[in-house]
Amino acid sequence: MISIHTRQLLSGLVLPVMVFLAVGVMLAGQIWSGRAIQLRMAAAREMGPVYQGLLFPQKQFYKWQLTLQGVGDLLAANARLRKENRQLAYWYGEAQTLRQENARLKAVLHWGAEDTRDYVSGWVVRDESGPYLRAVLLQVGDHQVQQGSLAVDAVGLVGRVSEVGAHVVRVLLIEDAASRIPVTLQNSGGDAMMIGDNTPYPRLMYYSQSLRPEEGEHIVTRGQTGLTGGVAVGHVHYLSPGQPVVVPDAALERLELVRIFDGDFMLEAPPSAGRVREKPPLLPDHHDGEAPSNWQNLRRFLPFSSLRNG
Amino acid sequence: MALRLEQGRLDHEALEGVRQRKLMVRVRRKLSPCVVMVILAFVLSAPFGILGQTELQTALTLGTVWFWALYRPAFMPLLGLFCSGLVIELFSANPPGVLLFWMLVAYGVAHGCRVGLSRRGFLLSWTLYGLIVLGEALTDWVLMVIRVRGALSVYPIVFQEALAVGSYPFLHVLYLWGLSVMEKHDRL
Repeated sequence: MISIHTRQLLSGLVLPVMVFLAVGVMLAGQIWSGRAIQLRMAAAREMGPVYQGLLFPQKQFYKWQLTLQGVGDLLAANARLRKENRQLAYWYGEAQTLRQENARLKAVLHWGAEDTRDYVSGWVVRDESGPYLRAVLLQVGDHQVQQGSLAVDAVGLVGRVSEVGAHVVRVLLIEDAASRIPVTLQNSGGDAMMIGDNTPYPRLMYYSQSLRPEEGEHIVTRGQTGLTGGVAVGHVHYLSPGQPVVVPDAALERLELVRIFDGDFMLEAPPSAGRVREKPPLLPDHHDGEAPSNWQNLRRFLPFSSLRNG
Repeated sequence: MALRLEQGRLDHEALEGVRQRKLMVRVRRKLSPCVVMVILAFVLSAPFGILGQTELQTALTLGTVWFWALYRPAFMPLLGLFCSGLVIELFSANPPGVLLFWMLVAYGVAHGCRVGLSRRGFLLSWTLYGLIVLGEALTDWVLMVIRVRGALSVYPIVFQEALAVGSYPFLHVLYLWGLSVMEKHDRL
């Protein structure tokens, strides 16, 4: 039997012995560090499945976090795509407008290249514009031009030939009060009538109420018998609500070189309500070689007189 | 538990039950802190990738030894402490033996000064605990300097000291609560 004193002495020695052992472990770990590392690696390898179980909640949490992050990214991507979609819609509208404009310009360019269309270009030799008349005289040489032929400048429609002389023709401008030209609204495809009123902006009338002209909408001539369609005229502008006018593309205030398209497409010139006839005809009214009488000259100034030359 | 008497004699079956229960209580008291300490060290050795995980492992181990050796030395036998220290060394990333050595130092200091510290209050015991952690961190640092044969940053020492000192009050409260629960359960 161990006595109480011996037992107390031994119990007091346990801690120093253990500290001594711990120091020994420490020294052994420093001397044989490789073995200590192998021992720890073996313990970690044996505990691998337990570690996997411990890490399972963390991995699940990371998965949920990634999922939520993905949802957040989707929301951000959705917002970005909506914004891009709006921009694309804007550019689509721009592209449509440019395509129409391109087609219009191409149509104008193609016009002059058509073999079936005969045209002549002439210099404006006189501007006959006044308070009640908007017209110019063109020097066309020996080229035969018919009444009603379209006259264009580099950009758009100028007017129609109202009278034909030997070397000079009169072009009634689209802003003249006697001008009546059927046009087509390019966006909606509706038809209307462009009516001059001696102002720089001809009025737009007789359009369908279901296809009202839009602000800025391009206008071309309406293709029909006696009139070539697709010629650029101008664009719609509202001077006041319900009163659309046409802002002409052509520079009507400073016409220099005008091209007249001639051909067999014109059947009859539109009536000009006597406006053109206020000035003397370019050709003398000959009837079978007879000289015009004074009475016949007086008819020019009478109301409801014939528009035809002679 | 009240003993049942049958015809003036002790119920040996009930007496055996009481003995087994007392044994269970003793075993649980002797093992619980060490088992908790080993579990904490093992869990913190898993690769969670948490910042300061290794330092926290050391802090919780030393804090556990310090608390139980200071307030309930009977719950932490020296042999259990040594064995659990050896097990913890397997899952530790510190140089081998250092943590075990400072666990024994903490036990010794707490065991030897527990009467005086119980009079001085919590702050002094907290300060002493901080010094023990500082000693452990310095030992680690010195051994690593010897191993790499070059100067190392002292930032890990500061970080481990701050983490251990900062976490000890929470550990103290947690163990106090566990102690009260255990004693209440044992009384029943």
